Amino acid sequence: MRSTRSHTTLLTAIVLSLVSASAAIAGPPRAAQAGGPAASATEPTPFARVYLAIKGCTSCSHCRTTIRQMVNTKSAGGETRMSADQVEVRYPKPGPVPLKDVIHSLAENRLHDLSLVDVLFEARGTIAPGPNGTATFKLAETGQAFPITIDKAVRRPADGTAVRLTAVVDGWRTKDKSGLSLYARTIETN
Amino acid sequence: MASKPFAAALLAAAVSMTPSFAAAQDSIQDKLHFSGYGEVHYNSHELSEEGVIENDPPAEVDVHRFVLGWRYDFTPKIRMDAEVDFEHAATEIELEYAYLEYDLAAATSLRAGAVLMPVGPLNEFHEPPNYYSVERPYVESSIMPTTWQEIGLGLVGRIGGGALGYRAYVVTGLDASGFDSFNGIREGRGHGAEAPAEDLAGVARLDYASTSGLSLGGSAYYGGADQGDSTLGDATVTILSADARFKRSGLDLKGVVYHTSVGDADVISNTVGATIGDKMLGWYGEAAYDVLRRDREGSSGRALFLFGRYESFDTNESVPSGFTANPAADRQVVTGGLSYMPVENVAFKADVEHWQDDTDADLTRFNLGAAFQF
Repeated sequence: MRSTRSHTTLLTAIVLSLVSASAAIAGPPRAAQAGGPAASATEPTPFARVYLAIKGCTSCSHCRTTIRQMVNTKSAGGETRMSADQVEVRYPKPGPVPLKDVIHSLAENRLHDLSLVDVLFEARGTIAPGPNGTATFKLAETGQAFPITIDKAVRRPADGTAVRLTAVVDGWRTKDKSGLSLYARTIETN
Repeated sequence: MASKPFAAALLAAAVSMTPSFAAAQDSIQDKLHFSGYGEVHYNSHELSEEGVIENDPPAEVDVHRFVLGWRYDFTPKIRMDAEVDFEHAATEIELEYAYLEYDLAAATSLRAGAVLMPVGPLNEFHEPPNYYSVERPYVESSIMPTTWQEIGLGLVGRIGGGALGYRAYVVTGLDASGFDSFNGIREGRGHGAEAPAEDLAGVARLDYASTSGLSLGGSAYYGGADQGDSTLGDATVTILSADARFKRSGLDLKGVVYHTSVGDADVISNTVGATIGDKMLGWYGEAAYDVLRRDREGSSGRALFLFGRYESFDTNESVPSGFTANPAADRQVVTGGLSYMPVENVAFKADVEHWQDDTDADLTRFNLGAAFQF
């Protein structure tokens, strides 16, 4: 095997490791774990985001590419970004969000060791009353709607108020995934 | 030297605690990702470099691999991915891979740089928690030279709802001046280090995965290997490989076969002064079972795999006329042991190997290993 001793390379690697590790420690907690997406200081907030918390199969480069491609094929133009434990699909401009398809791309994956753990959805829209005392979240400008549960701990704005919602997505673990619903984590009004 | 990493750690810690850097860090955190893996081994008998059975070799411990990797996302569609392998306690440093990847379409990406060869099931998925034994299967050392990377470019994709994956690259060819009787084509790898590029090669892999737990794969490689050196004739290498795996309900069954053909093996043999097989063959079958059933709903996340594997490989399966096959190149290895995984990416391993070759030499050795990836 051809090889060289290179203390410079080793030192560079250690410094890069420490910097990236300290950045990860100092940075905000992961969205799916902490109840809200991390705000980026450099990019405008997109219209909508889907966060897919995953475990397994993210340590090797080939699986990362495969995961990204599987999501890309179902995201209808969303921008896919990956970290060690989540996939984020961003929709910069208003438009339909194929939430069911995006979730399905990883929930029914064929990689040898990849599990979808949790799904978080963030978007602009309004909350409207639904049948029998329920509520519905409607995406701004698209009319796409999802049933939503709002816990008493989360302040519900007046119906029709423009909000930015962050919600846990429920119902995707069932086989047909037809009944996706949202569970509000935060509701911000402008 | 010892003070420099310490100083770097202090600097990194100071930077991370300075509020004015917080915004920049958010940006770096979004774009720069860090990964790695490593493994430490104890072998009751060390193995020769060529994988040849020796008489009562001494015990050995080794920080076999310590690999650090970085990915940088220039945009959501363009990224750099690289790993550096500090082998044998950083006494051997090797670029594992380093490439740029550009998404051409939703499920098609262009890769350019030092890429892992898509031959067989292990080379691209070589992180130690991915295999149960302390050492990698020996077929995937002597016949298929993992970890094998070459410089090139090609396409990577997955179609059919994730069922069918493909990779196809044009890469630098092997250098037959490094071939030998026992390690086959292994020392002909270029490693991307000022490697000869007179000869190119094409390599492709297709793999199919079903939702039932069955996966099937096939790979093909063909390329020149004389690199313009007339003393090596018109050396060529063809590799065909097939693999199958069934993983379900705690059970993991795997079968792999590699067949290598070397063109102008007689000319190469005369030049390198060793008998180079014009045909090399290796295969193995492996069965493993997770007695803790990590795959079950609500499991503790721990796994304890018991496994057994039989390997057979011969780098002199067929030799050119006028040469004699070396019976020591025809080897069989039986391995049995366990891999305990307290979490998904950490494994503690123990196994016993029994080696035998066609000269009737044999060796039994005991191995311990600790491995991680992140």
